[in-house]
Amino acid sequence: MSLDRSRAYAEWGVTGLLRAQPQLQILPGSEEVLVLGGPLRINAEDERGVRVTDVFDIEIRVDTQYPDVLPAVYETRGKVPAAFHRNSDGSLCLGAPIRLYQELHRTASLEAYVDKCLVPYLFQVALVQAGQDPPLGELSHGAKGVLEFYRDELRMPSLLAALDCVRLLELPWAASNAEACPCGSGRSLGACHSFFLDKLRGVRPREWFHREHKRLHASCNVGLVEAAIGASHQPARGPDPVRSNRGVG
Amino acid sequence: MTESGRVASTTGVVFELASQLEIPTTLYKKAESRYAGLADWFHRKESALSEADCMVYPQGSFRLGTVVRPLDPKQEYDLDLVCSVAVDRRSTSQMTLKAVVGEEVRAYAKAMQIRQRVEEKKRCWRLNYTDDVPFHMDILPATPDDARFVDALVAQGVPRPLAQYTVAITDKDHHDYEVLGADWPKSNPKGYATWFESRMQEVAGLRIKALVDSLQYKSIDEVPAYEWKTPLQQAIQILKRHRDVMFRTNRQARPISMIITTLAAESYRGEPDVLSALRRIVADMPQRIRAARPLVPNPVNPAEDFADAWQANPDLRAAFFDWHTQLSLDTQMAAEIADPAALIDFASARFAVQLPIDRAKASLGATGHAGHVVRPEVVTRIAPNAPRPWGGE
Repeated sequence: MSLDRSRAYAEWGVTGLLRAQPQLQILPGSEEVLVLGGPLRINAEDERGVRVTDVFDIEIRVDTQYPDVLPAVYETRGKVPAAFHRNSDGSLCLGAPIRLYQELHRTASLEAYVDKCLVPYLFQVALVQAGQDPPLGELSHGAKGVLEFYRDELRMPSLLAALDCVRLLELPWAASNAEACPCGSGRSLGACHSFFLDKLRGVRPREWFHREHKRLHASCNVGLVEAAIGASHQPARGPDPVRSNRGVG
Repeated sequence: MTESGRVASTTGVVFELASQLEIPTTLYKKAESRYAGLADWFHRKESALSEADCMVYPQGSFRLGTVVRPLDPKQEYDLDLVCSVAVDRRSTSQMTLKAVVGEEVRAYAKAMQIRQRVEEKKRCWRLNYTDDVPFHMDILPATPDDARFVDALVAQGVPRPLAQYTVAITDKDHHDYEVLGADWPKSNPKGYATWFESRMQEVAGLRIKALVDSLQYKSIDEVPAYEWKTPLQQAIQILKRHRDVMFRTNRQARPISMIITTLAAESYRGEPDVLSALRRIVADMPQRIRAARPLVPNPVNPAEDFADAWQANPDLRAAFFDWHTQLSLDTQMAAEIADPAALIDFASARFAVQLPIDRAKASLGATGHAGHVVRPEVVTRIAPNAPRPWGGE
């Protein structure tokens, strides 16, 4: 077991993170969970040149199934307003799960996860507390927010079209490409938005998208579906690669 | 910074740490007078034990000279004692021995006007004895084991001089607790202490000789282990404090001192200073854990596994490994600290030790500043497509 743990820690780059953030340390955890906690120093700058230097007391709980299970991150000193994006267990909602998996798919390093997912979140918290709008934008809560991510990432005209894309992501590549593109162009997916779906294919196994689709489908309320149906009745839009990912929320 | 400069600075820090974690010798002396007092009580004429061949001696960290200042100054010191009484196990059960010793401990508590109740534990009696020093004494009733078991230990590779100290002890939860003539649980604290001392005898030689030469002790055999102050003992104190701090929020999960002490003593190779001892121990410790049970055998009773609890509770095994991971990283990072303020923060965060500024500066030494590389400022770039905060269900 300890050998496995040692190998896992090496793969996750635990020491890399603790070296980069020397005030962070391992806290008592369990066989299933590695707990890292302490002050996290951020010194971050966005494209506009806005700089945030701050310290947050955080706790990161890394499941031994990581990176298949996302780390849970908590802020322990009440510096993140309770109303800011959180899960029901109080952990910070850093982003739509599939978006976070996208980062983990590139590298399983915890240091990169902190840099790419946690620091941007805390960067926004600091700016919101200074009275600014969150510069990266926010997603709605619940299934709607996740669908917003899919819609924007996959360049879909509506949330319902985005939901249909999630269904296609659970199919094998060739089978999904033979289906009609959810954007409503009348072309097959393969000849239309397949390029965008490729950004998510393989990020998670197909069974994961099956569960994701079931989850999203089940939690879509009538209002959302109606709004989405309304949207899909609008003239269909083809892929528009130059349209930027939603900039400001 | 050069390697030699790094070693010099870390030596200073480690030395400072070791001296701050040490308890005053007077406290060891106080502990000695405590168990001497208890022994006198057991030997007094009216004692139920006065006729028996009875000995009281310390075990654990007071015996080994590895006591660490408690994190909380109000916390009690654990003084573990063995009360060894020669009894015939054909006519005396575990329960009887436990009861006889318990009676005498209670009478002692009464005579000393100790108000707190004597508590019965699984294997020992606990006497909370607080005057100017808060101690609790755990008194373990025991009886010398028979020659048959000593021979069995020798057959398992335990040297006879260590095996001969083996004792049979009582355990309230043992299936034969009330049965005459049955097998009793085993222990060998004196054998363990003798083994532990043998791991550092050579390096302690000069200091022991100096203490005898200065007439503080009559002979080298009289110099107790707490006076030896070897790099092994100091390294163990540093390890224990690091553990105490890391597990201050969850004491139940912390790696037990017996595991740390045994693995450290096994890893120690007679290094002459604390820093090299610490480095050796931290590097070698995990390899000292056996692949199959017993994972951490008692060196003087190989059937006993100090890591026995890891089987029922795998979290404890994970906790040991996590502690070692952090410890290993901390020993490396300590060597890279260039700035006295950072060193003070580090000592405080990892060891709960307040390093005075002049000591921190002195620890970094003459080589400290000129050779250090100033780390460039690290700025995290926030990508425009970074994840947007969401709210889960």
